[in-house]
Amino acid sequence: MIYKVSYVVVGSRHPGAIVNRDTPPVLGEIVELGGDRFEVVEVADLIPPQGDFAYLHVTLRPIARGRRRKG
Amino acid sequence: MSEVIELLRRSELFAGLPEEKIEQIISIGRVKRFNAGETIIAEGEPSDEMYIVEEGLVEVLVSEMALPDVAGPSELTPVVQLGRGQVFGEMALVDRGARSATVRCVEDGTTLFVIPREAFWRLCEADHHIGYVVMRNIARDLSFKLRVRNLPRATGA
Repeated sequence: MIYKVSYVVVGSRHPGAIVNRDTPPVLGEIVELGGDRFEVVEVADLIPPQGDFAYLHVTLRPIARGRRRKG
Repeated sequence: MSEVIELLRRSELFAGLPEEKIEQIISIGRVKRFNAGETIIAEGEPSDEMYIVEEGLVEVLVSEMALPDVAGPSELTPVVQLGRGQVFGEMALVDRGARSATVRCVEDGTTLFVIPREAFWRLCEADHHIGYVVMRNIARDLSFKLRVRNLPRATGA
């Protein structure tokens, strides 16, 4: 199964992200997006799975700052 | 070659296509690498390619003109980041219009698979199964993005 995950970040100006994962996200997991680290606080099905794909909506909250991004 | 096949197999865009048809798509595309801060495509420019993120992260930005309900100064506003397996530039494949957003690279070494529009259309015309599957999957991907975009508004976040 491939997990197509939409991340929404609360408590931050981060725009969120869409990423394919090999494993399902779990509560408390630490996710890194472009040098920023976040904790998974909610996982929900967005739409029913189709074929090899599961579609999930994940809420994140920031846990640390450490941006590597340029300009 | 096998890495690109695996990438395309794991991208929703080509879900449902057998390996030999994925190889046909690979034959018309190429791999490009970008570093953080580089602009990959720019809003308003002509469009003739579609991109799949093989590794790394890119950020989609729109101007106030393109997204009139976003308050703030007239500058580029990030709306989402796209990571492994995600597609962008697919609207150009469908409507041949100008780029609707700017996309910048977020992580050094981000690797993209680039598919030129005209060669892809020729492939779809020659093999309608490829055309049907890819267009269905593009519709599904655009639907997913619309649902995601509407979620924060629906919850008032």
